Amino acid sequence: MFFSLAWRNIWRNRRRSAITISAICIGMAGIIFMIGMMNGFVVNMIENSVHLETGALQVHHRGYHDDPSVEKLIRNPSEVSDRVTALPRVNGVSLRIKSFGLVSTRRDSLGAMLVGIDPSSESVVTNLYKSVIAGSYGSIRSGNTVLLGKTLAQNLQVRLGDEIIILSQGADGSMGNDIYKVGGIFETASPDIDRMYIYMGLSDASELLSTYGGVNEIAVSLKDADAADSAKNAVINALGDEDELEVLTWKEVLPGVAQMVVFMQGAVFLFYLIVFGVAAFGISNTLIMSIFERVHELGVMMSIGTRPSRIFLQTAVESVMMGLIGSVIGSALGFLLSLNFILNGLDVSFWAKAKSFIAFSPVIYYRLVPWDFVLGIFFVVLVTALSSVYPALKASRLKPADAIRYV
Amino acid sequence: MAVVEVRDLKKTYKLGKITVEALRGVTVDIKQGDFVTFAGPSGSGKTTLLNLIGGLDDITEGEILLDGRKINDLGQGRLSEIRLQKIGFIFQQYNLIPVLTAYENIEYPLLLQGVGDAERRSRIEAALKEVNIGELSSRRPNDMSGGQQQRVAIARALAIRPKIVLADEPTANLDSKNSESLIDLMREINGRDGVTFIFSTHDQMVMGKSKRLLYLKDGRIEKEEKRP
Repeated sequence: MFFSLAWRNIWRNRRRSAITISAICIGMAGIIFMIGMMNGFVVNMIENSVHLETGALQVHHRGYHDDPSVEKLIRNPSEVSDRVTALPRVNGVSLRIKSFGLVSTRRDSLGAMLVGIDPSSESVVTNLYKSVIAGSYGSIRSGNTVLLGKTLAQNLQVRLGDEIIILSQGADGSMGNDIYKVGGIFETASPDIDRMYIYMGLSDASELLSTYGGVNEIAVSLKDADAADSAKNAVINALGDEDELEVLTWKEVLPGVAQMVVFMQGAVFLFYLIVFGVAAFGISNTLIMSIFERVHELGVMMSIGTRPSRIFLQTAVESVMMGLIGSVIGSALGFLLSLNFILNGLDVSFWAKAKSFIAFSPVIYYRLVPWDFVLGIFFVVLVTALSSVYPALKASRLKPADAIRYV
Repeated sequence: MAVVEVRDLKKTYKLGKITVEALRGVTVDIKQGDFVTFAGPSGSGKTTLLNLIGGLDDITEGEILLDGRKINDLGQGRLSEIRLQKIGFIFQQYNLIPVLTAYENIEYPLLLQGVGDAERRSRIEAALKEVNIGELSSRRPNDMSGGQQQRVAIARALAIRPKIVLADEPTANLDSKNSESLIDLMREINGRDGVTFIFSTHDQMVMGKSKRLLYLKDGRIEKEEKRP
């Protein structure tokens, strides 16, 4: 009866209630659309960062992250990687040697980031193998062969099969140099990587940079990249007495990306606030109007034994019902609006080219999970319930005799 | 035994800078089973007295005991509970809830009382039959005449099994035929079930059918008449 009464009260003034519910509905649809887009950007950003370069976790010699220099080596990489790989949540690891070097052709010389990898284990951690647009990812297995970023190759004016000279200082202070053949050219979502990176075989890098079996980085792929924080502790525990090593999550390795994630979540929160603010004022206003129209009737209800707390509850239920209707319809509308972008993605290629430190794919696919709807509806209902407090209090504090006299 | 005891009751209202003395010291006992009318001209204080007995308004001075319990200092929550359990209200304007049907209007206070499904249905059907509007149970107030609405209001007041029914000008908006039949019905219920009826009215027909008539003038009981 009380729900039925609340429901009928809502529809006493159809136009006013319809306007309020529509406002909630449009706001909710906007929230769902925004969340879908933000989720898409965040997931894409994380995936690109984690699967393009960092992995979910990285193990370094202590201090390497703050001051990366090739002589800061993990001297026993096989032992460390065996311990990490043995953890149940770890998918795989990739050993890397990294240093800056000078790349020269007959025409030009440019600075570049040299990365030595084992292509098999690297393919478990990153999607580099998918980014090769010319030549072969596996070509670096044969000696003195490298993969070049597309932009770097363009800047150096080299093609597949051309030779380049790489010069770099080794871990022991010696200068290393050698001639390498371009075995492949890659293009990723990151212009920085395309402009700066050269991948070579791990043994080639070890020889060029005189690491003598040591590596600078062990990148770790997790079965669940979202669990990087807890996995970090598991890796630290697994490494036990290896005090000279540091373990970092992708958020620590790429604080800019982590901040961008927080910023985007903040933007969604701000949007929430605006929409909820509008919903709260709308609902509150509707209820106050509705209560003024029903003062006499509320007095009658009190006089026949309705407790003030019941009047309060009755008014709050009306508000929550409006919030629930608006948010459920709005969620459905938001989902329909997002559907095309979930299936076909949003073309952001204009932006993907322009940005610098964060890698976005040219097409962002919206992502919505059930939790987004549940949380959105929950907050709208919560806000509508809170916005009913003032009018509900006003209704419940009416003096029956005064209210009955009110016409 | 007195079901309502009113002791030196005073009520003043502030209307801007003017203080209006609606009741200037009313003392009266009403026994269980009484059929009492407070009569008097407009402004004599009869509706104010009824409102105070029903706990709908604040007492300025004096005291009221309902069923031996002083109600002066009770909060609205407790007063609502007393009204729900002991007092049925009938108003001049019928005061039904417009979005509820006749059946639901009667059901509403029974739900507040927590009466179970079967008992509730039986009481509502009995009340509708008593006031002779069984066939209108699914109609909303706007689809009923004044007399029919007042019958629903009486059914609502009686269905809760009250000790007291407070009826404020219950016939003021009804034609004479409807008025008389409703008062006769209330008299019958009073005689059969011992429910105490307290009216405020200036309707001669109601006064004529009352067992006890208390005339109010300028906020005081001026005289009392008792009838068989």
